[in-house]
Amino acid sequence: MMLVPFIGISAIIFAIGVYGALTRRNAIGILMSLELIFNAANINLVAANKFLNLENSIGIIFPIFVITIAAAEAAVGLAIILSIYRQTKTVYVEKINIMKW
Amino acid sequence: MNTALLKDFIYLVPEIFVLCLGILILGFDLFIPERFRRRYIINLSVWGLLLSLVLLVYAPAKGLILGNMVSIDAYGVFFKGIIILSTVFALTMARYYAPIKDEVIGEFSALVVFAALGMMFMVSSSDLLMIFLSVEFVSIAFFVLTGYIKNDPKSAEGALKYFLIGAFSAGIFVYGMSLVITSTGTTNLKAMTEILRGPGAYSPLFICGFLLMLVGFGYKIAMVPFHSWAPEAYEGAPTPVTALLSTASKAAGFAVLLRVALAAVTGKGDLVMALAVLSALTMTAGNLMALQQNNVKRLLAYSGIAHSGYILMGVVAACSGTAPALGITSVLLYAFVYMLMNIGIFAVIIAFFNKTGSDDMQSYSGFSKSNPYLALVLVVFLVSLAGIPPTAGFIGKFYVFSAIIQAGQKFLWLAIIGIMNSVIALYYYFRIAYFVYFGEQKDERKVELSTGLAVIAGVTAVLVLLACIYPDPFISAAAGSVLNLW
Repeated sequence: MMLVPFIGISAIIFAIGVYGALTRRNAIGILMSLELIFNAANINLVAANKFLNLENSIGIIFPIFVITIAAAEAAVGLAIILSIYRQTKTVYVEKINIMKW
Repeated sequence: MNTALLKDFIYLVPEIFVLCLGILILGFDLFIPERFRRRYIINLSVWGLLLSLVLLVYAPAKGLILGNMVSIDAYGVFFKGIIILSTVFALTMARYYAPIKDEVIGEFSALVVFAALGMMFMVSSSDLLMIFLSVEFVSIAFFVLTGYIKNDPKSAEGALKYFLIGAFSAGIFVYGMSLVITSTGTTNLKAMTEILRGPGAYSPLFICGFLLMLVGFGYKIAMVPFHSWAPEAYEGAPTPVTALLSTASKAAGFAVLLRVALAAVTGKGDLVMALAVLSALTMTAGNLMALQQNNVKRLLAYSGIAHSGYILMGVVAACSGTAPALGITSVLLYAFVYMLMNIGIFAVIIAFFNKTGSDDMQSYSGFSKSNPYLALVLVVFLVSLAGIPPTAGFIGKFYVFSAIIQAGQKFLWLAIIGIMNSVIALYYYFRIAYFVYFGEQKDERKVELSTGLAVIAGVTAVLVLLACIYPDPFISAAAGSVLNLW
């Protein structure tokens, strides 16, 4: 099936994103990895729309919402990172640990 | 323009009302002098939300509307009731919570109302697109609310951890959704149920997708292993937000999880078993970690994780195929009683914090000598959280356990683990009670209880006791909400 390469490549991008989000120490770096995860989902959806003829072209509409939400989330995230930078002068997540486990 | 679609908006009157209320608060905030803001804006939002509760009760149930995106049914109305009630309680607490300053109280209330709106959509959404949008709506509002105390590093740190884990699991959630959509070809839960009845519908692609989606839900309900945000966010957030996070947000998460699980995994043994294992892990890990906590808010976070495990038992029973109605009833009932007791205990914590500025367990020493009544109320909530009669927690636990036992022999182990966990939980709840009654008194000042907090603590305490002594109305309301889920 034609869909398989697309699912494969989105799975690779997803894996890179998850790896980045789990290993990055810089909060901005984590944000960038998260964008990769969201985009992996978008590739899947658009490919599904092309090859499976989804009802109402939901495969095109869904990614638009995903992109919007990801942008909103990044905006709030950057604001939080900025506020924490003002107080602790660092954006490295392992240094932000006043509350113990 | 499709007029049939427009007519559907009449069934969304409560939601539209709450939306208008949020915008009204934002506008109102501009014109009120700072010293009146606290009083007027909180009053406006509380009474507005109570009015929307009335609208909710009288709004007709319809079923699927707006192209099957939203389902207006008794199940959703029950959860919306829980959400609005806990939002009202949380806003009333915020009025008496000093760290939220007068100049930001307007935006704070508006954000809380918008979060409530998002949760109202969350519990009634019946389409993956709608679920994704509403879950993110709520998450983004809560990221901001968690970090609302300016210049408090704890609050900012809680918000950062909540945000990073939240955004990460949202990404995994939407990736799982894309796999589910690819394998079933639809975003609609109703259509999905029908497709999944066909042969070969449970492809590896679908199962992968569903398990990845479970990450998103797991984060929302603080399920192990996606719980690590909970203690940080609960401890750092302003206490009214913590109360809202642990009640409304969790109830909404369970509502949408149950809707999806009923559509996707009913009678599918392996996936239900996966849920059962997660449930056992969640309650055990939550309880074991709660044993070592010294901060009361943090302890309640771990206790909340354990309670998520108990509610998941109800979800497992609902999806097992043998006891669906009892399972759903138990989830509804538990979400309601958990809301009551958690809101009540947070009201007491705020009253105590206002006097001492501390959430540590040791600072509760001798609390009963300076405030005998408040200490008694606190113990009622602790007893209820532990699940001992005559309190609401017992009724909740009783229903969850009977649902899981009815679900069949193969889930009996889960019931046994659940009962063992209830025994472990006794230790840390009664540790607080021990400090309250037998600890050495250090601070002789009396906690000055403001009217609002007294009303919240009183109403929830009475309801917690009533729900066990005379449980019929609560049980029939929950049982009546199970009907016509589709």
